Amino acid sequence: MWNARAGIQAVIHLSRVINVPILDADGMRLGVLGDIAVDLREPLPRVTGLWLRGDRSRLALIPWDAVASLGEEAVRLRQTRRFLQPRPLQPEELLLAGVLDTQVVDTDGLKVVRVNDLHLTPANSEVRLVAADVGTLGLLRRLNMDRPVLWAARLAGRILPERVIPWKMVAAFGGPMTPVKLSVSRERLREVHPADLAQLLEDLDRDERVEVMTALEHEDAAEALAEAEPDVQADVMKTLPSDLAADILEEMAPDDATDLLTDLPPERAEELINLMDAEEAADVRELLRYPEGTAGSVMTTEFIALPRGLTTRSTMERLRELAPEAEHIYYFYVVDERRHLVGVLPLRSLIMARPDQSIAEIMAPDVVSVSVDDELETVAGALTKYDLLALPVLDEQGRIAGVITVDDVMDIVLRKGRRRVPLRFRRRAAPAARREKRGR
Amino acid sequence: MGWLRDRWARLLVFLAVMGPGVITGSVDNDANGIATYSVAGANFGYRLLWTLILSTAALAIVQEMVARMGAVTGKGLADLIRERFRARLTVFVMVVLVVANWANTVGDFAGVAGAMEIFRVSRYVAVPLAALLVWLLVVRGSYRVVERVFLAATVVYVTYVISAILARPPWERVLREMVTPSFQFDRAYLALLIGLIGTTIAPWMQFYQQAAVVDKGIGERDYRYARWDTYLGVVALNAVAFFIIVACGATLFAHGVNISTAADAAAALRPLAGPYAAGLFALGLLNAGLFSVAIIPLSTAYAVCEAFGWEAGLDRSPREAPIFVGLFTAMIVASALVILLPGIPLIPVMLFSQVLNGVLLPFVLVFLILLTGDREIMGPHRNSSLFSTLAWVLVAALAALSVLLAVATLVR
Repeated sequence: MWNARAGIQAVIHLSRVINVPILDADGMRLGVLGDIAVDLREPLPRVTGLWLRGDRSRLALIPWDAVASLGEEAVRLRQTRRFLQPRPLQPEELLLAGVLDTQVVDTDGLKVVRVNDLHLTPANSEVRLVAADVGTLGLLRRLNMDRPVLWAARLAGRILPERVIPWKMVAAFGGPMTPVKLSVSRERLREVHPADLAQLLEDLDRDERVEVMTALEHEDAAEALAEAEPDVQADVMKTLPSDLAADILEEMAPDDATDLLTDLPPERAEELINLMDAEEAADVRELLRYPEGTAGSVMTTEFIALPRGLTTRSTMERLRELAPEAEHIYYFYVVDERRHLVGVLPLRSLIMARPDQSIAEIMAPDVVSVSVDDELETVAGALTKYDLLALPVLDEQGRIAGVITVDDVMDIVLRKGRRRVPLRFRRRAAPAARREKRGR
Repeated sequence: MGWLRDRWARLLVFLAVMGPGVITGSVDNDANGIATYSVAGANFGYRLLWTLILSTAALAIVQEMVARMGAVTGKGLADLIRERFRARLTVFVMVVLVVANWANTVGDFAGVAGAMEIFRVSRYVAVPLAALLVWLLVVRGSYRVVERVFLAATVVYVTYVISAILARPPWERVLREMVTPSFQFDRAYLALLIGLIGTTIAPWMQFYQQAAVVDKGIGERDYRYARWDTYLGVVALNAVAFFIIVACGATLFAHGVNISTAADAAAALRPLAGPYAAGLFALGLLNAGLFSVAIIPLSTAYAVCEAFGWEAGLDRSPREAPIFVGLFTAMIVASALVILLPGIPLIPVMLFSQVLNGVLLPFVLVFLILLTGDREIMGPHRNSSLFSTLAWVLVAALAALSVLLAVATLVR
């Protein structure tokens, strides 16, 4: 119970104030409290208005200025009924009862939880939303069972802990997607690592996943989605608006995008590819040509190929332009005029060389490579046998078509029913690379 | 040739979304179902066949609603109930669900015990072993593999089809009884009537099928195909029920045999299997019992955790999801213990569990109808007024039957 004049502080539970009577300055009962609006823009949202239950329009709020006190017994107004000036709900305002009982993401504990209650605290002449109650005690309070259970717990000599999440750590879903709400979720979700976000996606409903994808920057959304389980990926791609889905696909590495598209119904995949940028779409189409389970289907087409004639210095200059785009920069592949692979240039050799040396001199001419048709086991075998981080993939004419990195293969092997990885690799390692000469 | 390609393409889409309905239908033919249908056939011959038409229609209405809701919202049933009806009513629904599912599981353990008694294994050995086996398979093993093995084993029901035909029932009479409703105000008849509907439309099926639809990622676009999957499951389920009743009617009822143990019910398979009837029946009953003992507690634990926001999932360890694993375990243990009570009769337990199911069903259905009629949740896919009316009539009829049963029990 809090009173503006006395200024006593205590937690106000949303569940306890909903349905309390609203009394005007004359003590006349106007009705009961139906909902509370807060300003979402602030880190600890401030209560800005009250909604009277039974007001069907759901639009007219009693402004906070007119409220004298908000307590668990009654809401008292400063004004008499005649002078009240209800106002409409603003786009930056959120109605709290809409959050109750929904799923939210605890961005600190990285869990999807259900909101049992909301905690508000008064400070000065304001009341602010401070936390979401996700514990059993909050649930019991909803059922009016908290006091007997607490009493019984005390008899048994136990303390029931409260489980609350500070509101700053809560990413809520549902309700109308106003720009303010989107920017708030964006800010909260940005704190979460994309790999963790991918895990959370699994526990969310379809609409909530769409909301997360919409709130994130395309780049972050792409990264989170690339890490998610295949069925989650397919589900998200089926439900997202086509334009947004295509934008996110463009931000993904071509091999990840291809991987995802193969799990979609063919018409949907085709639709999305057509909406993508011409360049990214061409990459994906190229990769889609290769059957699943071959090197071609998982390779990335983002790699750095250097013409044979460059010097070390000019190579370094060129890399400054190219490298920010590339997936990895541990090896560069040296090609001739017809894009035939002639050598590999590890980053280390490049750094060690003199600036005027030709790269043809310092590159290793014997390259371990695989063909676009090779099976993934072969690729994995070659990577482990020669201890490489990446392998070039050659097309039928011996031209470099893409690169497979260790993490691409790891992903696939780990997904395959968690069989023991090393054993599989060793057994298949013998006929691995086609041009087995020297590793590095 | 365009139309041919189209037709093939459509068939492919259908096969891709097929599953949730057919699986739910197969699981629903559990040990309790076999017992209830057998008793209906043995005690009343073909007289109760007419209820199958009603229960098929009712089940189709109910399961179509949940499948549609899953496809449109992408959410589980417990999730929607919690968000729409808030904490208190959710607790109420969950209590109803847990009680109904517990009763079902008790009945299915009774089925396991009955089947093993045919093999001369004491229930005091069979039930604890079955409980342990199921727990280990589900918690430690691969659920998918388990599900497939059980599903494949439901082929055993074909034996009822063959047996019913070999028994040469008077088909003309069978068909006539099928379309002529009969009614009598007497406790045994009413209880069996409710039990028949209760075993066909069990509360857990709604939670289970909606979850399966959501898991499969079926959206509004694929929904028309998912609808056929639902109907296929419903019809397959009731076809099996039909043949069980006919087989029992032609054999047991014709000879005035009352079913008091599982071995009595096995005689319905004699036209097909002769001396092997008992063994065949026991295998079918065992499979049906074990399958449901695995799935029903699992679906209960999922629904409850979903409603209250507790961690759930078979890929989570007991430490990560204590309530989920705890609830699953408690359901199995609490159900198995009932069957271990000395002298508890198995067939009546199975029947009683289905009557309880039927009595509790309207409480779940009310929420279902309100949700699927909600414009905010279902948008353009909400129930039409004709559909709502049908659904409400169903609830009212079920509730009325329950009241009648209560009256008939008290009058006695």
